[in-house]
Amino acid sequence: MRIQSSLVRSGILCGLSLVACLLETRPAAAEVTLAESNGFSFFVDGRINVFLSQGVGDDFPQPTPNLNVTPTGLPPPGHTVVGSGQPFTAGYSSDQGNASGKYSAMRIRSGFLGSILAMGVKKQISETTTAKGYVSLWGTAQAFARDRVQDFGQSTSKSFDVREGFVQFEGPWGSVTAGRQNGIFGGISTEIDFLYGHNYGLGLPCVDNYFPTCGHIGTGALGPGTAPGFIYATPSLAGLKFRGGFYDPVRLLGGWERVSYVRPEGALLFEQRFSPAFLLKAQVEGMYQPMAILGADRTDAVWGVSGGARLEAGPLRLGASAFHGKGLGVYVALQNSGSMFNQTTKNFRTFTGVYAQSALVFGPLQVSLGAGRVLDSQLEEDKIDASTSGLKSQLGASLAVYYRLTDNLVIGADYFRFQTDWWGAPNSTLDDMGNIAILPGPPLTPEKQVIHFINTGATFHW
Amino acid sequence: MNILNKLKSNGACLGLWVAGSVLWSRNAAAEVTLFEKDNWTFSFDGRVNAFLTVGQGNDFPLPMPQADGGMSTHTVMGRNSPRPGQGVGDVGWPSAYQQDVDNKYFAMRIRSGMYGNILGFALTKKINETTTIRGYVSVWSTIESLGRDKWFPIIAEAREGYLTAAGTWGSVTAGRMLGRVGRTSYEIDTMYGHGYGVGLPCTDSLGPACGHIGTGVLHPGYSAGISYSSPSLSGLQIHAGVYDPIVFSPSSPDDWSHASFVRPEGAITFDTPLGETGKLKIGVEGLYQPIGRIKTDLMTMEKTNEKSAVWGASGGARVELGPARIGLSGFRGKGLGLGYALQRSVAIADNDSGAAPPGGVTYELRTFTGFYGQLAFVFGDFQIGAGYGKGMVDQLEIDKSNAALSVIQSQTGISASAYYHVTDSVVLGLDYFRYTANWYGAPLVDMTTMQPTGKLPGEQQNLNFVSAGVTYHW
Repeated sequence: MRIQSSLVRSGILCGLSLVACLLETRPAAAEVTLAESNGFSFFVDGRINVFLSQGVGDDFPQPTPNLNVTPTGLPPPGHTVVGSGQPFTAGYSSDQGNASGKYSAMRIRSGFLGSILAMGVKKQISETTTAKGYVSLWGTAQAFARDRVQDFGQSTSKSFDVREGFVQFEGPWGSVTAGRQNGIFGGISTEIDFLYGHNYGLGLPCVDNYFPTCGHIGTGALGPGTAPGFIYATPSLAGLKFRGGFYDPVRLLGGWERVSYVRPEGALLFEQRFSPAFLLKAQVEGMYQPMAILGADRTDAVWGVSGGARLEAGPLRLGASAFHGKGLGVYVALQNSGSMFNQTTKNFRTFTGVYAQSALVFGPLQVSLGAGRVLDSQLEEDKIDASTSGLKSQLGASLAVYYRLTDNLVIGADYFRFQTDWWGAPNSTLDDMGNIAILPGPPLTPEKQVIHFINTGATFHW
Repeated sequence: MNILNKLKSNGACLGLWVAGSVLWSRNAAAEVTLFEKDNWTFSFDGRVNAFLTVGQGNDFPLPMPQADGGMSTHTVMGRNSPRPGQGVGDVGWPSAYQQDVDNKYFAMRIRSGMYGNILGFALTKKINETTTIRGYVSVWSTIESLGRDKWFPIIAEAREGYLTAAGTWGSVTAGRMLGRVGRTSYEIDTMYGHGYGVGLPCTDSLGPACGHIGTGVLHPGYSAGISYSSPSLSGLQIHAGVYDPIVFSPSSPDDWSHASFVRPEGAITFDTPLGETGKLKIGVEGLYQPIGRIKTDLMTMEKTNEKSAVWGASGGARVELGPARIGLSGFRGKGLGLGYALQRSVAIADNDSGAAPPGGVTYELRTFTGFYGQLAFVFGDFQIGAGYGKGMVDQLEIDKSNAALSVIQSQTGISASAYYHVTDSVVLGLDYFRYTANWYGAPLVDMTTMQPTGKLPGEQQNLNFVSAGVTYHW
């Protein structure tokens, strides 16, 4: 029960976290200095946004009926569809489906980033080194599950989520950041989505109930999330830079809970603005976390590699990214979700994602187009597990238009098509002893879900 | 946070140490004034920190086997407590599901220190020549998420929110603030021990950390209250107030769930310079809180009101002489707790129905005692320190005959620390903490006479923590 509820909760909460990495990539101009005193500089940044979001399409699919009734008239084995009742695991689970299994719902909600109130204090602590303390508080416009008084986790109060809280030292030798901050792995794909895709939009709502949304995360882009860590970044050497360090380890509930060692993550990146109109950035990333099963000797590791590039040439913006790894998750690196590993054997599944995003910028107008897909591999034991139809892939296609009314106010409209495919449960029946027998041939018809989202709203940022 | 800054400011006022007292004197700049307008002053203080902690040792102990080698049938106090999993310390130190096959613990975390990340805001107005009013709110958070779950939100906590009116007649503070009992021990730990370190992580799941709290130091806790402090008379001050009452079990009327009256807490402090650069501060503190419950006679099912009271006395002194810093403190009280005053804990009373004596739980309050000594030396930007403390729980008579429960006996902490002030506002820290918890051992009872015939050996847990990190404060 603990596992189930943890998965549900973690899955739901996941959405709020995965876009935190974007804060760092916001324009430097977004920082407003309020006061300077005794060598300290106090600044704030943040945003408030709200969107009207309309979703239309299939509700979470019902399991494909198994028609293999035994000769003695016993009903065939049934199965569950991964993600059913577990938002943020696979597909789009909601409490809004009608009798025909269709979904049509409006919400007024936060966008890709929530409402953010952030503040910091800077001080020049030597000739060349600056210290910065930074804390950001996140919230959303909408309440949990359309319940007016509930917040995430279904508590009865509405509080902030302290997404970031770090100290950063920066000098000619590079920078060191210590505290709760953005992850590294998955950073380039999320950066592309943020800059060229959904900064001022919505994209895919991660979950129906609550939280800032996902943009293209979960459909090819991988969110790095936030975690406490110590990260060093080298100075730029002709555009070449390395960022690396280690983060607080993460438990995967219900399977891999013993995590004794911190998690190294790193990225090698090249970024150069060759001319005022031409910029190129390329980045490769990696992470590794040893895992063990509670009270047992069995060990394994979650690992991942990812990379991507983006370029800006005149009005054109192009970005492409990919990731691959074991035990990573669909939406965010080290996601607590039922799709991470086989719940019986605990073997990790591998995940692969690809994502491409384009945009055209004409003065205050930006038009964006993107597509991405993430694939969850099937283990050998999954192929003979008649009780489950596992996640196969999630596919996203998006179109967005943004108009910057002023430096701080942006209105936007975007469309997102979300499609989820499952592998389908193996075709099966019961033998004479009442045991499940896998039948040769293709599986039951794989389940599928398609939803369209249209969103429009405004963002005020500073 | 404000108490910390106040303490720091006091240190600063004591004079200009050449190099030795730099640690605290530099912290006078710890509050940044943002605006001053029309007699209003808006200021900001706070800190951000991060530590890498490595812990190694025993996970929460398993019950001692029976004398004949048979399976144990008792509970080790703390085993069933849900609090550590929720990030609130209790007794013993259960990990968040990190034990190996041998029930050993080894784990790394990146976490907040004894103080979390803090944003403190103050708005002060001078309302006449002698009186100012100051409103202050502090918001605390950690960097680590609950139970190593990457996606658990970090919920901000408004630890403090009060107003203080101060004048020549003293000061009145009203709102949510730090309590009085245990304050001297907490102050010593903050100033000479773990203000820029970790010490004992309160729980494996979540911080902020405890320093020596729980091992001889009693944290005063935060409560809503109204408190008066007299003006300083040659360093002598009286502090007295009333605080919102605390109950130990709000959902069970059979347990201590009634507290009809506010809780008086008070302190007498004496704070004086010693020579040009030294300092002496002494504090004694006390509290008293009436509590009640509905007692049900198990034979007749008749219900009656039962009254009792939580009380506590604490005190200590700290001295600064040259580079040396010495602090000593102690506390004792009924229903007080090991970690913080009026702590909800499985050790507070005989109320664990899962390990009840044959006649049922008695709800009798246990008595707690603690002592703590801390030493530090400050050499310019360096501070090194060492501390020792122990918190103890008296055994009730019923505990000596309850074969179902091994009661916590003591929690001991030994610490060493080194801090380096890189600048006025940046501190690097490295500290070591050894934590030992001892249980009394479950009584052995003759099943015929139901009389105790001895006891099993007491369980023990030993853990070592090494923490290194950085704090940026303003």
